[in-house]
Amino acid sequence: MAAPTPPTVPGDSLPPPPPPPTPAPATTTTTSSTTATAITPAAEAAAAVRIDALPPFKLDLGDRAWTSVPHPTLPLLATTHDKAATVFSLATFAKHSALTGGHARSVRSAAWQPGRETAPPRLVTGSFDATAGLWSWNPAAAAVNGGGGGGGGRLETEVKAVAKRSGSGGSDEEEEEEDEWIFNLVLEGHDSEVKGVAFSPSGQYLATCSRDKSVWIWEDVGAGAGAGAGAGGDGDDGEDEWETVAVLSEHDGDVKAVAWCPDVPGRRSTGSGTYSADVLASASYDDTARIWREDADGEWVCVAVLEGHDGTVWGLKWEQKPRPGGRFPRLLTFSADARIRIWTLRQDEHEADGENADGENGGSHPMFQSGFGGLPNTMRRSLREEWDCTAVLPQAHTRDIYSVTWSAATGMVASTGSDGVIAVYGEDPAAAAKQTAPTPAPQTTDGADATAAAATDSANGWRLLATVTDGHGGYEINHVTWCKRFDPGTDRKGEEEMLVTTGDDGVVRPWQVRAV
Amino acid sequence: MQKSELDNANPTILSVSQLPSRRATGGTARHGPDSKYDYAALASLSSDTSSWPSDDDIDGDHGDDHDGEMWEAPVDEQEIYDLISTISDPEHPNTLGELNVVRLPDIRVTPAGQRSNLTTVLVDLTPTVNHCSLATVIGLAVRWRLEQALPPSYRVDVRMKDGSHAQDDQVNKQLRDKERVAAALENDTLRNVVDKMLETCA
Repeated sequence: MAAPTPPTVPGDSLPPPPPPPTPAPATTTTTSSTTATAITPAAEAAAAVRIDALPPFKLDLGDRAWTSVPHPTLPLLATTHDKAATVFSLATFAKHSALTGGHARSVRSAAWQPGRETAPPRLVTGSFDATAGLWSWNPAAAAVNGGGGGGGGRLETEVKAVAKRSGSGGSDEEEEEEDEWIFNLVLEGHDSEVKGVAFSPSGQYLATCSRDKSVWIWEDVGAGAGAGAGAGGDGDDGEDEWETVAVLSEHDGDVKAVAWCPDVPGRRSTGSGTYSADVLASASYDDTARIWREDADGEWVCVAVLEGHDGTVWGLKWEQKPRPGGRFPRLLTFSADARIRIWTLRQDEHEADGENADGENGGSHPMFQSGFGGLPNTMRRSLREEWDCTAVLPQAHTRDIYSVTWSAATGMVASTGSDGVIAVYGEDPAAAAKQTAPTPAPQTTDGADATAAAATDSANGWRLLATVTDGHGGYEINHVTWCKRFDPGTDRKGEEEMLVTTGDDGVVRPWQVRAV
Repeated sequence: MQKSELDNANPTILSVSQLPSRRATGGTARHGPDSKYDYAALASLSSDTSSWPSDDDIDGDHGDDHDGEMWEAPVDEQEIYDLISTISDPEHPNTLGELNVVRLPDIRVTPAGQRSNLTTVLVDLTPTVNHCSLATVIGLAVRWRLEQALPPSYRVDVRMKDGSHAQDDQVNKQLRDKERVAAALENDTLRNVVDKMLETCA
């Protein structure tokens, strides 16, 4: 523990953090409804919401579907199932196109590459066949359907055109659709099933993870990468090339999921001198999550091991919504132990350490000189980050939690899993503003009932706002995600968020979530 | 099976009359326990629904469809037993019931709680010897068989009975993991073994 240091660090990371002058985050925990602003002044508790089923996506995939991923900007949703992915239109809830023929076994995961606003959409798929596939939308094929070039804005038109066409579908439709997605590249290297794939916020890095216990980081070094990425169709015609920049093998079991910290202001609030900006987190069958960063030598190192779950950590999600005071985003993990934990970087201490390193204070403490083989203590300390479990969400599940989603717009969390329950949680604004201290006793929530959740200390301001039981008619639900609405049922297209769940019944279901 | 070295060369085998059944004990056993066609007799026994006291629409033979409507009455332990006791052992010409790997008292059906409509089926398996390397495969076959046969609102948990297997925790964790189970069943070799084990269930 570093001794108190003169407050020369940036003001927003001083211990203890000053309470924000106004409860700015109040709107975050109200729902996305248009009445949100009205609740702001007095909002002490997260507002109650109700979850209503919308008509399901108009294609029964027939068998287990694993995950559905909305495009960051376009009204498209990619659902993985069997050995393929089906893309839906969010405007019509109908099938838009399909990615087939690229994988020999089930496609488990998918991710859209960000940062391609002017280039054709690109999707990566992770498969049990131990590979990841890279697919690009084919503007030429799309043009046949009345669309234009690769421009993002025009693709929206294409979406509608194609959606209409598939409504009258025949068997030859399949072949055309295959042409609409080009299977550009297969990323080989993992020894066994690829479980998860994720792009860094800029799209420069791709992380893949596998049952082989490793995480691979790949860098986009193709012709269309980097500064030239905005070159549109031309850029994409260049060669696709991805390079392995790191293989991370510290987990003791299958790595179930990977997630990159979003590019929010808080991401830069720490470690600026020590690490590059990108931060990766991984979740594992070994019951832990790990956080990885690239150090000054370009090495990807594990900076923290998050231990607390009593079962496989099925996945993790970063806080997408910027935090008050520009603090570092929190991380949420969910597990076979039916719990959701929230982890917070102990920033003040870290900043203090950074101060030491910069100011060469290490030399003034004789004890630091001796104990670490001649390495200044501060150098060793700087390789680690302290992450505390600062909340265990009110318990809403009785079995494995397979998926959780954390809204960038509202800060609300939704979860689902083996028990077929869909739950929505909100954080009291006051708690969100000051949440820095570790949870007193995270393990004490055994038996806590959802209805009593508000009272449990470990929830630390988080409340269960609404639940749906049997969301997929008895089947397990594998995935839930917040997703912008583009359908005629909303008057705030591209803004209002809904939930989309994906289940073992092969059905993809949208849910409206609005304030009561 | 041509396996040269069996994990357990001399397993204890129960005769048909010793197996749990709704029928009067020993009622219809036509073959001696030494017959290698035992499983055929057992299969016909378990699929013979005409004499079941309750009803009509409970029948392991319909295992391949997911039709929830078929299952209006709750499934009980005996029915679970009947579904899985006829699975063949991967290395012996006997069924899991005969080898006492599957035992009626180690099956528990827990109906829905207040906040869900799920029914949990818990099956504790007793491998023939405590280091049986095929424990995972047996567990996989049992889980797969039940998932195919039961309605979607049933959750199947298959475990090794406490202390019956050297690596309980590892095997249990693997059998619990939906993703691993799904991937295992896409492995052709493993899938063939499991399919062969289930042939005697038809």
